[in-house]
Amino acid sequence: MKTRTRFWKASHIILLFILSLSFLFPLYWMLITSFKLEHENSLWPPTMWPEKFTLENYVSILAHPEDTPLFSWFKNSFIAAASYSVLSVIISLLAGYALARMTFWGRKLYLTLLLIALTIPGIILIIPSFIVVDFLGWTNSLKAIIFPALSGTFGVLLFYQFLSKFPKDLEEAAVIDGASNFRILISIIVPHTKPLMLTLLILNFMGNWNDYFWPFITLYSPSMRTMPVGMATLQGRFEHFYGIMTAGGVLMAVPSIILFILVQKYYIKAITLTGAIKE
Amino acid sequence: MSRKNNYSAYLYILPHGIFYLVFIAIPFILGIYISLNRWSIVDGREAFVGLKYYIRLFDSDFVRGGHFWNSLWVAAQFVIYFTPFVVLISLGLAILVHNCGSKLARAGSQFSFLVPTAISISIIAVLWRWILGSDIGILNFVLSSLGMEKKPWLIDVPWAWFAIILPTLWMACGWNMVLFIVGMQRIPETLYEAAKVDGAGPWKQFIYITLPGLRPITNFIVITQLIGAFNLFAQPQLLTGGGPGRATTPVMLFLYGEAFNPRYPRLGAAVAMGLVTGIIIFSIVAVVYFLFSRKKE
Amino acid sequence: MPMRNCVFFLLLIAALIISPKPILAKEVTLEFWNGFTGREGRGIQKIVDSFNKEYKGRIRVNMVVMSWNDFYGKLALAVHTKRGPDIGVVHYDNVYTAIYQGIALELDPYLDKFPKEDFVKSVWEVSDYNTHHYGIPLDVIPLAFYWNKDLFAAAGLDPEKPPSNRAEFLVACEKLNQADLKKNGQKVWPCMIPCTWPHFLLWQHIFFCNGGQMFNSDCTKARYNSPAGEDALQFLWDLVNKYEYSPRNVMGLPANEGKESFCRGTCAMLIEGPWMLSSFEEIPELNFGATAAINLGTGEHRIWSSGHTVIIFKKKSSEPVQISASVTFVEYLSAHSIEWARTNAIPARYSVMSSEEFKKIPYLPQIARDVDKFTFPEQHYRYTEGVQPLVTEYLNLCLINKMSPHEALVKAANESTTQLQQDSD
Repeated sequence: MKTRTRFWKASHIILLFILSLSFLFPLYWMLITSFKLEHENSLWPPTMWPEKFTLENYVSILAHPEDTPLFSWFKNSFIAAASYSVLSVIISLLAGYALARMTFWGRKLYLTLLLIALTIPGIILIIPSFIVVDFLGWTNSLKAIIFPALSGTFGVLLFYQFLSKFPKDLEEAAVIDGASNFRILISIIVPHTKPLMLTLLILNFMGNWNDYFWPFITLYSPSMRTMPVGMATLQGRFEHFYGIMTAGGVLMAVPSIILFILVQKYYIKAITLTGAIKE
Repeated sequence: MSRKNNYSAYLYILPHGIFYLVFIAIPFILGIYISLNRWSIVDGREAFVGLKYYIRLFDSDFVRGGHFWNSLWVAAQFVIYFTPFVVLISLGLAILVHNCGSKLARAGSQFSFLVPTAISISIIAVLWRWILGSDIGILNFVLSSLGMEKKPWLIDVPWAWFAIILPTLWMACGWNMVLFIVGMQRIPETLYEAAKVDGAGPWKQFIYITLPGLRPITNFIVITQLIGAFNLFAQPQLLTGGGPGRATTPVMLFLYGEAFNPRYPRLGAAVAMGLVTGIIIFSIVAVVYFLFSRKKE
Repeated sequence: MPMRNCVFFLLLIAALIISPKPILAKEVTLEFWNGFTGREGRGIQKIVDSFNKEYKGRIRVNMVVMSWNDFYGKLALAVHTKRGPDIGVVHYDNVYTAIYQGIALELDPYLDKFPKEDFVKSVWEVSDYNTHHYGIPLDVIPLAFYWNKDLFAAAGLDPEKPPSNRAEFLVACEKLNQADLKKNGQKVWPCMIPCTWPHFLLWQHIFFCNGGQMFNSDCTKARYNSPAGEDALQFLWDLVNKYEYSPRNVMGLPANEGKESFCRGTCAMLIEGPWMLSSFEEIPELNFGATAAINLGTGEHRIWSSGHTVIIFKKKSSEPVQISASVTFVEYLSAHSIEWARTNAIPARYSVMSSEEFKKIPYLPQIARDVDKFTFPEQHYRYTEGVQPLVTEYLNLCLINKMSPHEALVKAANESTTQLQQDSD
């Protein structure tokens, strides 16, 4: 009996191991291809390890900043994602706090508006939003990637839900002491919502960092692009040179993966948050 | 806590409210306005055409209308083909990971399944284009070593659908797996213990405790996938080019082509199509949502 | 003392006021949009940079580059935005579209700077509309024919003499097939016919060589399902399915397996644009030849061509100083088109084509040899819409063997005609 359960346990682990390797294989393949000389990509059967290890693909990309300003792309992605995530957390916290704790005319109305926005399919708003963004003169500028998304209702509802359930005793004590709403927010609410804030920050950062469609339609000059759009550009220019394309892919995926590793715990929390809101 | 009509609340709401107004409310109303007019590049609003762009979609002779409905059908096909697989595979992975004895194996495999979710879709699409290429792509190599024929993954249906679904699964399963795992963690252990006392084996426990316990999270995943599937854009654009013909051109890709059409940007028509699509999506989601909530036991 | 200072100060102000030189000469900034990425982009950037140097302080050209799809998609909306383009490069088949959209400026007042006889005639005429002239041709882009000289030699063909008509082409294919060559363990194919873009260019080239006409004169009916069109498509279909000189399911856009295969040395002959020259030249092991696309039709040799034209945009908010600055820049660009030619483009001006420097550029002079045979597609603002069914659907479906050539062309022509008779908005 014991050996049987040990057998199942072991094969369970082996199965997981095989599945993990299969999931990681495409990344391995991308990495390996980027270090191969181009002609090796046409070998048949394909080689699992470079015949000759080379860095020329990376050089090709990094040596032509007029075409492929990778550093600009990275900078743009970072500025946009950082600004957006910080601003969105602040804005969502403020609005969520007011909705959860204050009474004012229009409170229920605003909540309803938020829920409605959650149900509007994005496809309706894309083209008109583009026109609004264009009217504001924000096309081909990072403003188009940072500000429109701040209208998102997920963060607000998140803080609203959390704060609604949050016990009021600490706040009531502070009110008796004569503290203003703002002081309460800063000294009581913020410390207790830090994990939530951090999680939302990471969720929004990564969402903005990896966004493809919206930056694709709003940013068009090479120097203003973000990394995902830059990747699509690489394809246009280097469509045949897989070595160079995978090198570009590696250069652009690595920051995302490093970020993911650093915040994995919060990333997982963030995923569960997205599921929590519907409950 | 309650104060009579706290005016400072408006200050707190204001930042979000401004963005909501400018980027959700105004575009929504603007969209309706745009869809009722013909727009020219030079003169802007050219003429009021009323519901022409809407009515036209239901005229069977209207060529571009046919393309529009085709693109909706393509998006629907994606939902139909993709959703069962993403639910089943994510659930399978979740079961394997959740019940694994070794902590190391659990952490390692969870990491492997989650990494693809952190990478941008355009990188994933280009990578998979390399993997799925007919001539020297590695997938065809694996197939031919197993004695099977090389498949035209990017060119012909039904393989083009695999080309779109495989990378999407690779990218999405880790995410949904985490949702399932959390769902499983929330099922009280006592239920399982009671079942064991009653003599139920692991399979029975799964069917009668785990699955029902996961129903809310499954509903959530299905509805999210339903809504998100209509946003399908990068995979067909970068992998199959929408082909063969228009067989893999979903609604977002089609609308992009219409609105940003090089020759004649069809703003009014494109926005009208977007609104019709939105109404359809909303109706489907509403129906699905009500069906799911009725089933509550 | 203060009095003297005052007088001096007043004199200074007077001098400034009545001085003819503009004290605060504002530098005119021009936005120049195009889709030239990669090497082409670098070539044109060189011309822009040298212009900026020469006109420093007076005119500054800011070049904005994006993919052609993005470019055309954004152009129409962008011309009237604040940071929109002043000058742009468009493909020939888009000049009429720009004219129709009202965003192309009439260049009649400035034609003294551009000697008409120096430009290739067919190319110049493309920018004529309703007795006015709207664009300055930058280059001509004929479809090219590439062949792998090493593979030719290995198959017993003369590497310096490519086939020049359909019969010779088929003979060459047969010989290559019989030689049963292999490269890196993979079969060498005589040619590769793509199932997606640029399949349309191949078909249309053969269609022109058959003397075909795409549409009727006011572009309301499709005429391309004529015998000329069917023969062209049938020929391509035969190459893949009957003779098996090309593999099946060769992927074009968004990939380009034909070009990839040629680069690898597993494809002996390829018909592609001259923009591929740069890629091929970068591969030292590839020993290839290039000439203008050969006559694969049954009639007179016509070479499918496109090209780039520079147009100045008619913006609602244009000031005269911006327009004259734009004209200056276009003049400079055209005069310096030898620099553009170095990016593997054939300049549209005879004077540049016959210059010694041009003759030194590899491959181009041979491709440009038959310049009088360059044929352009018909000009009409609804042309692109009319060919949409062919480009997007029916050629593809035929080449992946879902439809016969006859059926594909009839269906496509029906759809084209129906669509052309509906509104374009």
